[in-house]
Amino acid sequence: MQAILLIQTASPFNQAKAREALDLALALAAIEHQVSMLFQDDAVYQLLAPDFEQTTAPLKAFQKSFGLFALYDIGPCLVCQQSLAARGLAQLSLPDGFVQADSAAIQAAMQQADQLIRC
Amino acid sequence: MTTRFSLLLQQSPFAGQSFASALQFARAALAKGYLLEQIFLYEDAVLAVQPGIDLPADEPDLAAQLARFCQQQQIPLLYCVTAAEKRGVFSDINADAKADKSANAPPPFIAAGLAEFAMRLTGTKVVQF
Amino acid sequence: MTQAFLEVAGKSLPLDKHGYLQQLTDWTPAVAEAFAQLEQLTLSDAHWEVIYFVREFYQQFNTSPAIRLLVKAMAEKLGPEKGNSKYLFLLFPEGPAKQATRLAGLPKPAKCL
Repeated sequence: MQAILLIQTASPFNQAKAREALDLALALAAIEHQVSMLFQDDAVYQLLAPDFEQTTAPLKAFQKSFGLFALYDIGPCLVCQQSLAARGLAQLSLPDGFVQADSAAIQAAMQQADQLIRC
Repeated sequence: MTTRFSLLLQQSPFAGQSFASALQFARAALAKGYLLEQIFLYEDAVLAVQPGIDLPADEPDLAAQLARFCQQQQIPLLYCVTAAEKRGVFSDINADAKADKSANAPPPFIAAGLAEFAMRLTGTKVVQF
Repeated sequence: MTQAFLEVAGKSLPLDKHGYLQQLTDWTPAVAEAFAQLEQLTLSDAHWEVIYFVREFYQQFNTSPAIRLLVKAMAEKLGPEKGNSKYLFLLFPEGPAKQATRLAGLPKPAKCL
């Protein structure tokens, strides 16, 4: 068992990358690693839940799968404050279990982890 | 205790330098007496298992070099079947009778899942390329 | 490649290349019955419980549960007697996640999870 911080950097429109990062997180947690997440750079767009009834964008609503984090004891899920602010999303309301993190909090999370995996 | 490494490759063998870097790292690690627990191909790195790779003789075939290296050094070289399947490369751990693709990639490539990567990762240091 | 269909109540429902429903919305209980017949399963209440469980799971999480996830989620909701792989394998001998998701009209779960 290891403490692994998985760093998501891909926009949801980069579907394969974001989805494959999610699969990796779930697989690591299924093998009883202690997984936490950091959403950084364009990955913060993953937290904008588009209205999938309305949009014609060719996207799968894989954000719904974030609900699995609780089942797998994945957490905490940090969201980079600076990345949000840079995209005009500082006021974004985050899903349950997600918290904004400043650079000090991110640094602390990285220090606590045995491994960092960036996707 | 000797440090053991897990190498995780995510980029295409052609559109990036990750295979070249990983090979250099792996050779240097072995030369210094460290161990390699696994080399795992994920995301676009699974393109390395494509059977039809055909390069001019004077261009380095990094996928083949990595495969040869792993064979010689007896290092498990795994690829994620799901990622491969999504890219139309090889499928199938359990040769699904209903699927029209049935073969796995030839050795030393080993068809595996993320779960196997996660299990082998315990006690190693992950280095990403 | 030729397109495969499942005949249910006079309709031809298109299948994907793994033999799973192409359109999630095509599903009715009769679809599960038709798949069960192909797989030589007689559906009991226990089977239906799992079929509806995976459908609900998919609606909630947009993910077809592979075996580890199915066991874990079933254990959480229905207790350890049902949330274990032996119980599930007795119901679906060809692989619980693989079979139950097919009968439930969901996409084939990822092999690697």
